[in-house]
Amino acid sequence: MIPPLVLTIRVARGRKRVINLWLPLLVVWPLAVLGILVGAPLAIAAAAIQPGRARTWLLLGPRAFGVLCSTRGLSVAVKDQTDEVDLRFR
Amino acid sequence: MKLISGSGNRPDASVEQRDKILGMLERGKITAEEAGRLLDAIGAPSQAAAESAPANKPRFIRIAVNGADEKVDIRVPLGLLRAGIKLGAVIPQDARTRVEDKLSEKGISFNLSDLNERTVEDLIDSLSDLSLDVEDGDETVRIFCE
Repeated sequence: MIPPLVLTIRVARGRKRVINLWLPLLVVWPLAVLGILVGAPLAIAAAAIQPGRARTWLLLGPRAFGVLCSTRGLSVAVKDQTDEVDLRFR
Repeated sequence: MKLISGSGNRPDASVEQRDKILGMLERGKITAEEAGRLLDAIGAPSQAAAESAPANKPRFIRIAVNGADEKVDIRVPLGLLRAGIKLGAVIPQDARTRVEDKLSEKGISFNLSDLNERTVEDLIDSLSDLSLDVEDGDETVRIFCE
């Protein structure tokens, strides 16, 4: 499972490009992994304290990361007479 | 004996080969074990075809709206649907019940427990043939999988 590496956001008004962002998510994901590593002991502790919800605590982080990884390929493009918005996870 | 499997597009070829193998077994030219191996080898192309079938599984669902004044193009990975279902599966049962109650208040009768990975895979498999085209004057809406 490879998370999206780049997020591109383009917003144009008329012929003028107002926003043209190229975000390297490659930099962000290691921080997310770090967050998971920090949160893992807390999740284990919460699972031990609340055994009835242990599955939720233990699986929430990895499954949420799976959702983030699945956004790769997601694209939304909206264009009308004056404005244009293009968002893509690559 | 080495069997060269056919292209899989000629069903007669596999029947012929099967008859040949059974004939050799009958005449004692090969043992039952060898016959079994040869018969499995004939069956291999269909297995290979079945294994290649998932390659045709749709990966994205596209929604394209073309109107006189606006255009919308949305492409959603179907993997996101799978991952969302997996995430939803870890919702505690009491929270799931509350969600179902809220949905039923709005008139939506839906059992979240029915939504599992197998159901989603069946749904995604049947989406491969989905193609929905709606025209309304100058506007067209297309929903399809690719």
